Amino acid sequence: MAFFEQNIHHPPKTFLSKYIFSYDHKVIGKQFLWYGIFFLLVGGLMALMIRWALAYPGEPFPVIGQFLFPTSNGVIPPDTYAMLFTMHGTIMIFYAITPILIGAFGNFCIPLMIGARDMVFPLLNMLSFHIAAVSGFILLASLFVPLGAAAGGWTSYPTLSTLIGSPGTGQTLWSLAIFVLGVSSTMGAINYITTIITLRAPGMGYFDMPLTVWGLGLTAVLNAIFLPVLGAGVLLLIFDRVFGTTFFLAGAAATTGTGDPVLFQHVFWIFGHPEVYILILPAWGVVSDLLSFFARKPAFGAKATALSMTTITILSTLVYGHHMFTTQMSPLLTQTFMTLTMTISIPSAIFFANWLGTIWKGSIRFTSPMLFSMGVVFVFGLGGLTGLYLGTVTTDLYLHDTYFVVGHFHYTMAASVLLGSFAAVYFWMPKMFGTMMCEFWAKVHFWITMLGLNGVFMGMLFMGYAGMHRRLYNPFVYDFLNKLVPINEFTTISAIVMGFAQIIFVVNFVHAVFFKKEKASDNPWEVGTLEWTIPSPAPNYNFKEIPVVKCGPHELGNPALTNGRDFQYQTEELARG
Amino acid sequence: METAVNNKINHQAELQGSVALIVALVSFSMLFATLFLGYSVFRLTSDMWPPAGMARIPLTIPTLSTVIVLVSSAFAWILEKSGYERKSMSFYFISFFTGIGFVVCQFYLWNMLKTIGVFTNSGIYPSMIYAFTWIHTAHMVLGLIAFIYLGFLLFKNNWILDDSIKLQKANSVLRFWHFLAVIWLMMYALLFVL
Ligand SMILES: [Cu+2]
Repeated sequence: MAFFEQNIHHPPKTFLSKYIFSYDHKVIGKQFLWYGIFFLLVGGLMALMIRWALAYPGEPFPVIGQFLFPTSNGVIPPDTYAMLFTMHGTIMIFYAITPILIGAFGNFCIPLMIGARDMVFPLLNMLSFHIAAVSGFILLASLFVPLGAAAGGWTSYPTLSTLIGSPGTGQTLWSLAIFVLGVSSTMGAINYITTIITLRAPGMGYFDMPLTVWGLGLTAVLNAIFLPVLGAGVLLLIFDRVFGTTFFLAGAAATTGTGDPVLFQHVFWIFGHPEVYILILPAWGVVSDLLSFFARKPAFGAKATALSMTTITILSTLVYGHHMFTTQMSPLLTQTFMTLTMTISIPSAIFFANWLGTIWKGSIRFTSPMLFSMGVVFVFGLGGLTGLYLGTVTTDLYLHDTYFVVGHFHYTMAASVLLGSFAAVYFWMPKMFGTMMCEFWAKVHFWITMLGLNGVFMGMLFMGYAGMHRRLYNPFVYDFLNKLVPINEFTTISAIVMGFAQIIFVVNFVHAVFFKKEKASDNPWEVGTLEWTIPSPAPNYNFKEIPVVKCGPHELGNPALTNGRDFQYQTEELARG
Repeated sequence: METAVNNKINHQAELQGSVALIVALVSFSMLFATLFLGYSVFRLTSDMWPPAGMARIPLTIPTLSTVIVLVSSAFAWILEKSGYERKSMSFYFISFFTGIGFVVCQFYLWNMLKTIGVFTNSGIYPSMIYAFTWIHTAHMVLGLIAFIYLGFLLFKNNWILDDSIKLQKANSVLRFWHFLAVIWLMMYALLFVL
């Protein structure tokens, strides 16, 4: 569309202006990437502790247990266990996945893929990272306050999260951190949406944008609309805790006019269900592109994929009640929410079929980004299917709050988003840092991660189906769960394997960023989107001249191509035979 | 040629400014909409309103706040219509100081509530009055900071906003200001009058 004037940034000169207070969307993206990887490791360590407590209750956590829990001789105490699963969820969702997929790749990919020199508001962009950093500090600080961190679960339902359920400042700091992070993400969303609407390169219509940008854009829309809802919720929670208001405190209810704990659940899930899509949409976008790039053929039904993603975005705002079937909702409402939830299967099935259509009869190159993308297809399929049982009222009444739920949302949110993030990291590594990561170790990383995570999350589905509740400190005090000791042990061992596999990634990544001499070529994957028309790593001004777009992003394997390549750049006229 | 390029830049600034402002206002609206959702839940499920044992809040101070915020918004509107010229400087200052007056009024409101024995922990009705006005006032303070920024913009450019980037910034500040006035009207109606 537009042919707007865009200034060329001057290259930064000092260390501070280059790495800390940078306006450059690529540097801000990298800041978010490091931030996310750091929290990914923290959250991962917490996951291992949770798993350890479930497989070997009463035994000290190996190696660092004595140091972390000196009072209990290295054994994870019950109250700490509650803090661990709370902080694990919070950190993974808000401080690992969000910064990596939305913060890092949103920042890095959007301007590069639409042919812009930077975001529309670079200053806002920089502030958005620094506010996120403040939020991260607040969250980490909450781990060290008296009475410990928040322990009401990542959903922090009252009364678990009011002063009655969790005294101490941990929960207050948690709420504050979430609010501050919400401000940061909303600022990012304003930037992303404005950039996508106004800075697309001349000739680039919305359907000429790579699906990655579609996913990131839809995520930004959901962020802008629904993060403030959570913001309002946690603000009121803070008021309840600090200033003595009574929004979520149940008393003798109606007569004295005190508050309503269930109201928080409504507010939380009005945000919370879209949040699921906020996390997954960028991964869907990335995967939709990568499947086409590495199957060496156009994305099957790319327009339909984009429109299905949009439909899901709209539908996702209407289904939140399926998280609250057990709150004595009227059957009319539960059935409405159930029906709406099931409706999401239709667009999901469409783009899932499009994914399969894309790789069908392709000349697939099994590179590491492709392996991870296909991993996403697999785990997302499983995760989506298990969701049907939770969206149906009758089965949900049994499965609610069991490990089946945990398995389900780890498949959809953790597994597919994690694999999607890895695909993105391996794929854009050359453009980001100018070097390729080692393919061999990337593939080893993939297979161990894939086996490990399926072990973990499949195990969770089974134990949940057998009735194990999701937040028990020691489930085996109940006789009927005693038979689940072996599967818990299996799950924990899988988690440990998966955890250690990430060391491979970290070493590979750090090596490629800091130590690798061999530079990547400009277009190592041989794909045609705009970011591959410029040098690797991308120069600080991105495009010396704003590119003019002449064809779509997935022009691969066109038999009319005559220049010895099996792909064409988006800046080239569509080859016709 | 020169003008063509300028027109393009102007068009760009307008588009970017208005898209960003719309998204931002949608975000702010959702924050307040959530508060109003909470209000309607409590209001609709309660047998009587205000909840038993509570008196209505005297309307004097909230009404005064409402008048002030309307005056402020009106002068902001005149300022925009007058094209930010030097001779409309007084409109800027009237609008700005009435804005401060509004915030002062809110402090009077909170004081008054305490003297008549309505505290944050006296039940859901006072909870809402306090929390909603706190959040709104915090936004008014943000709005005032934006107003100060607008003042800098105007004085630095000698009250001549000749390119549309500056014009867009000035207009955005005032739109946010009007938005907050509308939110206050809703709060006034829902919390105090109805
Ligand atoms: Cu949901």
